[in-house]
Amino acid sequence: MTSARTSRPAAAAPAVVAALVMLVAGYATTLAFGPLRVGRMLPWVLGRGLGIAAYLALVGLTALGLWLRHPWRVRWRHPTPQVQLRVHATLAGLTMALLAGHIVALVLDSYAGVGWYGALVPSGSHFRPFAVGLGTVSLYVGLLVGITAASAGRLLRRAWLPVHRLASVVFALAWLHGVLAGSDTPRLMLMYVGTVGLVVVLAASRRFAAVPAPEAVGAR
Amino acid sequence: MNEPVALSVDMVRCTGHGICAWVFPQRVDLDEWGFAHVDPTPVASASDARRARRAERACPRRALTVTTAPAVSGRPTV
Repeated sequence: MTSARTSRPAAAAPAVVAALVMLVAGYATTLAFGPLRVGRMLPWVLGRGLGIAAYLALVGLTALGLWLRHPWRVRWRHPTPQVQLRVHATLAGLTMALLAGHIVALVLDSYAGVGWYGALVPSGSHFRPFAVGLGTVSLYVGLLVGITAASAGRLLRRAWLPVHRLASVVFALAWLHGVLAGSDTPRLMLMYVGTVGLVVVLAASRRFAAVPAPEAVGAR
Repeated sequence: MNEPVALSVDMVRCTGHGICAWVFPQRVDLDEWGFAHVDPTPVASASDARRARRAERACPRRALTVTTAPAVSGRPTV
């Protein structure tokens, strides 16, 4: 039997991996979607960039969440399930941090027409109220999913799991929010199509794929 | 004084959600496929006993059980 560890695994490794992923994603985003413009456009550029980064972090979070219980996961033994859990939690924190930056930057942009009311109350925005409202609802449901999982065994005991299944709603709303309010170039639309394809393929294969035979994965 | 408690896992019920290892990594390990393996040695400290009970309550499959363990004597039994 595998013996349990006597100390918490190092939290630094998943954080470093997540930071590197986001660094590469940020660099690629900057290269792909045009040079930064400063001045009065800065809050909008920051809000847009942070929104794209938050969406990519959410894609990673959702994809890894699906993979954690995917039948095909038994074919790959690395990274270990403990590391995957830590990366999953780190990506959740990263998504929330990027979202906070996205919201603050766009609220501070007087030209965006969002404001605090528009950012926090669904359909309260002057700019595309329906599309912005989808993002607001996604944020609230996402907070619910994250808080109940982080307090599993305390707040809702084992009911964190049915609440966690709302993560699919969070992703769907965030994707629609991005498509309807944040796809001002064809390349961005390509990114939204590609990422939703990845998540849908993972979700469908998780649901319908057969578990590999024990001898196929080297089970003793 | 706190009564020592011990963790056990029902491997038939465990489906590998892994929340137990997240809550109590000092005593719950996951194998290469994500299924829980616990250290059955009784835990005596109040904080570890709290974490063990929290891991038990968090398991969506009710696969983890916390039982009151007999006090450990200093002499081995044969």
